[in-house]
Amino acid sequence: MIELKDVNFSYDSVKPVLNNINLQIKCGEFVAVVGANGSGKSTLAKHLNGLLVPASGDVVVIGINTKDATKSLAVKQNVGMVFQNPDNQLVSAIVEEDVAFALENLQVPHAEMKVRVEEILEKLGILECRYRSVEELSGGQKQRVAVAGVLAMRPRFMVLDEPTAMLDPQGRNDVMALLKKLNSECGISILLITHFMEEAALAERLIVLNDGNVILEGAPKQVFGEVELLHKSGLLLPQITRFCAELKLREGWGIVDEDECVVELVKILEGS
Amino acid sequence: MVHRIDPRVKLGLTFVYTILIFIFNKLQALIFNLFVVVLIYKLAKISIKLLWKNLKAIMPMVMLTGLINIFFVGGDSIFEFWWLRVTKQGIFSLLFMVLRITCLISGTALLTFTTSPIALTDAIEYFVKPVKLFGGSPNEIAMIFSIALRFIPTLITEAGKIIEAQKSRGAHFDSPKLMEKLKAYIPVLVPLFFISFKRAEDLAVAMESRCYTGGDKRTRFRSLKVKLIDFWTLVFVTIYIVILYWVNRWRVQL
Amino acid sequence: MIRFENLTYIYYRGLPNQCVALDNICLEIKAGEFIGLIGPTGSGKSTLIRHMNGLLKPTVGRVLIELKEVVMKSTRFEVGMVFQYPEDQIFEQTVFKELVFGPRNMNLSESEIKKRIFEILDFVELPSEVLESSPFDLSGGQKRRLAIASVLIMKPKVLVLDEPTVGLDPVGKKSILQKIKQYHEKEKVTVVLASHDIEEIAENVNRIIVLDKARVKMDGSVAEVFSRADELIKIGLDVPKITKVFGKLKQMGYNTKLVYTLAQAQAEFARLLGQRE
Repeated sequence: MIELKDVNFSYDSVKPVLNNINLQIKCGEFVAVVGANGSGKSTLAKHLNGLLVPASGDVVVIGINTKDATKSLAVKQNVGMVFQNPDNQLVSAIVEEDVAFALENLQVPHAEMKVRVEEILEKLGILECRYRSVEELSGGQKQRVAVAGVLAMRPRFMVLDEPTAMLDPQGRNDVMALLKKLNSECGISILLITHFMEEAALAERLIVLNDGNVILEGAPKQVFGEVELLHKSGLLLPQITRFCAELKLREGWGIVDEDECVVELVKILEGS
Repeated sequence: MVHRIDPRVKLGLTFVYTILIFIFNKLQALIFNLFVVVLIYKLAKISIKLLWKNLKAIMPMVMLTGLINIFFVGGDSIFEFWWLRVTKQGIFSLLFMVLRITCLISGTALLTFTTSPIALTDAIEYFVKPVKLFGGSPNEIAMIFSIALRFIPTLITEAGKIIEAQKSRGAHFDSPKLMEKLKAYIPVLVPLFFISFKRAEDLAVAMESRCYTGGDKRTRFRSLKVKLIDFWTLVFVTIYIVILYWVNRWRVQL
Repeated sequence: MIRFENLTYIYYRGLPNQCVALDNICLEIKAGEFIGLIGPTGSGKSTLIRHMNGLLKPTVGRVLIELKEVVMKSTRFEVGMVFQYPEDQIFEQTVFKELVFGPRNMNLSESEIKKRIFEILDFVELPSEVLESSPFDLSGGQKRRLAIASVLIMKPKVLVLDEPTVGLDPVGKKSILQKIKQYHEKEKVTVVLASHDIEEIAENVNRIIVLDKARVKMDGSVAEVFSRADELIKIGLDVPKITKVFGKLKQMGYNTKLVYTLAQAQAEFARLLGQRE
């Protein structure tokens, strides 16, 4: 479990970026954090693996306080991070070597490293590109390699900071499907930071950040019911959710799914 | 086959080769050497055209210095015009220079043609091991090389995009005047630097997140193993040097 | 008016990795149109766009603007080009210098430039205080607006935008597009918008050109193109979700038209309700 207790943080000690954040992420959960640019999402993400430590309050990752510098590697190994720009997080020019990067750092013996790298490439379906140069890959494939590089550490949690922001729809769907799979098949907890509401809708739990405060938390459908509040925080709900909201279909309930929308519309049209 | 030789062996031999080219001072030794190098190109299945491309780029410079040499080397004159005097020794020295540079480039290019940049990084890491004695970290040096290799293509693409954006706003990159051309590129460098710093910052965070702490306490995914072919390469090269030495001692009447 | 006549473009021509990026494209874009250009990654969108102001020269065929052949030197100020990331275009020390870069290349008078600067700042809603600050200190959304402003200030007849909103948050996206739409209506310029965001396209443009595998796959009004949803999905594109919802209603026997914007959906649903009563 990752636990944030009264976390405050500021880069310049004038303007607070995170304001008294209390959160828990349980093992096996799929959580999404949404918020406009500048709402503190990325800062929050960097607290989860100890890249940043809170000015006050604590972040505890499976029992380790991130302030404990002697255990910082254990924290980083357990909480894998994937970032927005696929080009800026791949270290090595060759796919399989990039995947091995974290293992080299963790001083995994050579023989075991080979086995683990192959296993992960196989699992993510990129074994055939293992010797390829990362330059030749598409954005979605690069992000897949980035995920593989993090998975190599066998983390229990994965934090992804807008992993699809720079991808085309195809790449975006690919990455989302991959995250779903990792969560359900491998039991890895996922914390997805995004401003695509369609992606956030796939999570079990949704956290909305605005100006460093958690303003909403709950199941996506509940959160999506708050059209006005979300709009004020720089977030725009998907088209059909807005459409349903204006028709006052099931108040306090955000409709994201097309089929559900059709069912509700038919109900009205049939007058039931 | 040449591709499969250990990069350390190749890098070391390239170094030795460079020295040899400057030690052997007879025309026939260089001609013989060039012949052998061409043979290795054939063996490694590299087209000589590729080499010719490299040579073409630098030949004008060599010719120019060579030509100046022609006029200033004293000796038996063949041709005199006003104060210019062309001597037999002058022509000989031009020929010698061109040959030496050709040998140098063709030999060293063999290394880059047959070795991937990453393998080269490994070889460099091996040879900079002594920096440990002075408190340096060979692994960090290798890391710098490999990250540079990783990002060069990215930055080239980036520069292309910046140039396109500025062309679209009326910047001239095709001015025939050198100064204006250089001036036009300054605005390209500014965003390029800015973006590179941003990339570097992102990369540092990503590396730290993947447990990189710097220093030499890492295991390696790639490992170099000395193979039989490396042993034989060394044997053949030693024999070759002896032959070359012998060729160099011939007395050839010009 | 822009006309593409049998435009073919080949990258790395004659090399083993040669690749046909555009294959015999014939298109005509009329003055004042708002065009949406869509296509899967690698379909040739960026290559097509780069022919509009002469960044690329056709391998075969030609591109005409107002019946003149597009050549970088002579026609570059007629077509304004906004690229994906503002970081690739911003380079000056101050916002002011950034804005005057284009106009000075056009040799406009300083007084004209001054006038245009204030006009454009007002239009993109950047406060005049930012003029002396470094463009690198602006927020993401502001940088994007500056990048657009630095192109609009040259008053091009054609405005070409290559994914102008990628990476922005939803509200930031919407505000940028509103600005572009406003500009289109006010100045009657031709706009070509390349985007992956199908809802963004649906809400703004009046004609869609679909590229696939270096060729024009579809070309028509928004309604015409979206009525071929199955084909779009087959090549890896999509239609707005609202279009799908109403498509399903139609399949269920309701007498509904094709809709693709929120406003249309609301009107159409009200009509359906009215019909029932």
